[in-house]
Amino acid sequence: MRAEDLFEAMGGIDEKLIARSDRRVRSSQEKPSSGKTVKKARKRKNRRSMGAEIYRFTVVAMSTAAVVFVLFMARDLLGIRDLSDIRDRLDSTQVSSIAEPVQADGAAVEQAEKSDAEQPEASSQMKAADSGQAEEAVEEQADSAAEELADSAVEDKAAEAAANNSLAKTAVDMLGEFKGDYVRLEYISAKEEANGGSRKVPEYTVEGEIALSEAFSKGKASPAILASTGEATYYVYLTTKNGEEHRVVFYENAYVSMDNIPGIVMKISQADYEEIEDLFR
Amino acid sequence: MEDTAIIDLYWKRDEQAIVETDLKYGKYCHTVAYNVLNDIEDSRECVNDTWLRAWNSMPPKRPSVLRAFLAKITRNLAFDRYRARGAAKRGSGTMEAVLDELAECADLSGNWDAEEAYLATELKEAINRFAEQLPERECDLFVRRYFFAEEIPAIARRYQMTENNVTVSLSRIRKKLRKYLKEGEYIE
Repeated sequence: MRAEDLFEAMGGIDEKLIARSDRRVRSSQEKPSSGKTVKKARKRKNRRSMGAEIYRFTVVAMSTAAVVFVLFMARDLLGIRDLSDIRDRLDSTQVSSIAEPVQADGAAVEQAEKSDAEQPEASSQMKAADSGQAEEAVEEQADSAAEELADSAVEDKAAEAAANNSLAKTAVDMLGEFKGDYVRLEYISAKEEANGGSRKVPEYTVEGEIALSEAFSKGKASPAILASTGEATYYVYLTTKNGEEHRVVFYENAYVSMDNIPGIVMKISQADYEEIEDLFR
Repeated sequence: MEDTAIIDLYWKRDEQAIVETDLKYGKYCHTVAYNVLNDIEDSRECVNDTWLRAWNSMPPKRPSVLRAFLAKITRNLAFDRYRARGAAKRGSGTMEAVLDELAECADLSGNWDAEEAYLATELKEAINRFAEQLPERECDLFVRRYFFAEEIPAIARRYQMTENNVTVSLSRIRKKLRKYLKEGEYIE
């Protein structure tokens, strides 16, 4: 059997079936002529097109949101992870604080030698005494004196360094690599702000800088809509060189968000959150 | 004029019957013929042949639906004319596309010629049963495409469907037809 035979056989289709199909075609073409049907058809069409519009709008909105989300995530993650500057600086601070006691140790030994020289009595006693006990006693004395001197030197140096640090650096320096972008950092608790309290400027501390950089380097960004952040606890206001103000919000469940990066929150560790809280107390 | 009145004229052997038929169904039959032949002159001749065939069939026939009766005559005459044409003159119109589609359901290896007359009658009845059992919309699409050889865009406009939708529906119908013909052992 060929296709032509099949087509020929189709010619045997019952006239009633053909008439029915013809009638349906004609009635579907004639339908819009009656007023009621036209209204119904138009209503149905409108409903359909409205549905299509809503669907189209939803698709466009969702895809735009997805693109924006991805861009913010990329920006957020790249920005936060690039903390090599801070780390280097932190490492160098630790190295210098380790090196300082060693220098202090040397100074203490010198001091001890000096004191040794300045104590002719002790040396004459040493020479005079035959017993080794006297010698040991002198050595012990010298050692303890040297240790005391070294300890006090270390303490003095650390205090001096801390004083220098806090004097030279401001709260903005705690922002690490972002410090260049901002000229002022203020904070206020959510409660105080609600009560009309004024903002405070925290003092620079090395611990604060570490806590902030740790929090941001370990923090994980996620969509705000999916995070149960809890209530806002602290607001940190960052002022840029242009005078713009960016607000950073800390939440009770150890989340952080920035008003200029909407829709994204960052989950930080509870320990980091507590350290930052200490900074603001 | 009403169809019954026209049929009465045929039965009275009044030549006015042909004039009235041409007035009422001339355009329609021409479209049916044109779908198959894709040629205005051939279609016109085919319509004239239709009036002659109708004149010869009534009486004894008294068609219940004159329009469908005439459409069937026209379509079959047009297809005879199409087959009588040389391959070169057939061109590449809708008819070729329709036959290509139907080739999916045909069985080229079957020994059709040996029992042609018997099988043709059988096949016509089988296809009629197949068309009857199809859902309303599918039956309409089937008739429009494989009886009237209408173009897919025209069918889509008629039923307010997309062309793609019509193509997919027709493909499903052909699958069903192939299965049906296999079950009836019309094809292997």
